[in-house]
Amino acid sequence: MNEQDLILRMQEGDETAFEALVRLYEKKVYTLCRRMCANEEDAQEAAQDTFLAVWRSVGSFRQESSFSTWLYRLATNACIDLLRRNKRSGGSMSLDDEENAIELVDPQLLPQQELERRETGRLIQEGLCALPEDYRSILLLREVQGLSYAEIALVTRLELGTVKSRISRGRILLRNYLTASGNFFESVSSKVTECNRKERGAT
Amino acid sequence: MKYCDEYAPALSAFVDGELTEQEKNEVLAHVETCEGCRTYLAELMTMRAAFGGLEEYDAPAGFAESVMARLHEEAAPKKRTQRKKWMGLAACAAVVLMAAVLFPHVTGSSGAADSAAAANDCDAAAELAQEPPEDEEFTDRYTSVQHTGLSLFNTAEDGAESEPAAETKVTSQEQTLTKNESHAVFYALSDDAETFLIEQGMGEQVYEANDEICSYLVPVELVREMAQQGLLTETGMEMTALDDVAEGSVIVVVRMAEVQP
Repeated sequence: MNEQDLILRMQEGDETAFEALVRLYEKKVYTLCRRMCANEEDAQEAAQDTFLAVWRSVGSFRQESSFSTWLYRLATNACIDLLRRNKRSGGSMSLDDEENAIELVDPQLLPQQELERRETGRLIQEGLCALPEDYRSILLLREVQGLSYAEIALVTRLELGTVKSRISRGRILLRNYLTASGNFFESVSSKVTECNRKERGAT
Repeated sequence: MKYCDEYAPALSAFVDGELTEQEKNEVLAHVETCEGCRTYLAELMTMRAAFGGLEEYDAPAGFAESVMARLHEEAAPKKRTQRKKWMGLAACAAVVLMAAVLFPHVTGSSGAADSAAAANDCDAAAELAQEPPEDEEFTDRYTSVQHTGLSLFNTAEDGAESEPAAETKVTSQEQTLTKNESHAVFYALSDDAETFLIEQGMGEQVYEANDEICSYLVPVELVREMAQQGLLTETGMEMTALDDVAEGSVIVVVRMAEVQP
């Protein structure tokens, strides 16, 4: 049974087909929600909301367009709605401190690279959380879901030019946050200086 | 040395492989002579690598089952959230009545405190609270409200769950804002202004964001700082209006469709 058949059966009200689609896409949707909402509880709720929205509005899905485009749009909407609901009731984003929570291995045994990778990952997530939701979501669609500008334009219903400029703006804001928060780019300036030196030496 | 503003979007698109051959050559030619852009390009690649190192998440165990469970639960006659809301309001109404009956001689503030205590458990409870708690700093808490009609990602046809527009008019213990609320509006129509606001932690205080307009809800002291840094788009009227706003928060517009910054 391929995806197209599952979607058709789902549109006829087949719950088993719907559940199969949930399993097919749960990882991608949950990952997106997890990075948007930054904690497990909200991510799970937003991911559930996403699939329930799929079920409820399955009639408005047109077969010609891509199911995943539609799904990502619903997921982005679900996350933004949840974040705004949380704001209205006075909460702010809570980041799961999971990197420290699930430390099964003694960090001193981990190679330096692994520790650095986790640290930069943590900083990136913090930086994402400091951004307004629409910058955060568009960067996630690009960097985490790996969508092209054209695909992002379909998901967000923005013009291609707007997608390009919004991603650029989001990256500038993220970069400013990372620069202000420490030595994220320390190695960058030294590498650039190194390249400059090599170039001058070569001419 | 800073990157060139006009090249930033091209550098970003370059890293995404979204430039034509000609555009790519232009960017590379520029980068050869511009250290600021060269550094920024390296920073973009560092961020790209950091994103690549992000963990992939498995959905929690039993996720699909939890979706099906909610699906069946919400098939029940009244929607879950609606039912909870009505129950909450009814409970609050009962408590307020009880408080009024049981404590007729008590001063207004403690009567309100009793009902407010119960009301804290309910969702739309503050509609019934007589007064805000006395130690609450009203001006310090503000809620940004997005009208679903103006949502950047049109939700109407997609069936994504969002709060009905009527909810935005509910008075709550935090200061709720509607479009017609009388907040002073200031204009700071530049990327630098928005960058400043986000660096000051205003990223979560988006007031309105759609294709036409983007604005933030900002404490007055911060707006004064922006004025000092020359980040406000100057018109004589706005500068004097700033003096009239003693405290609280104002709306700062950073992007408007018909205006070229």
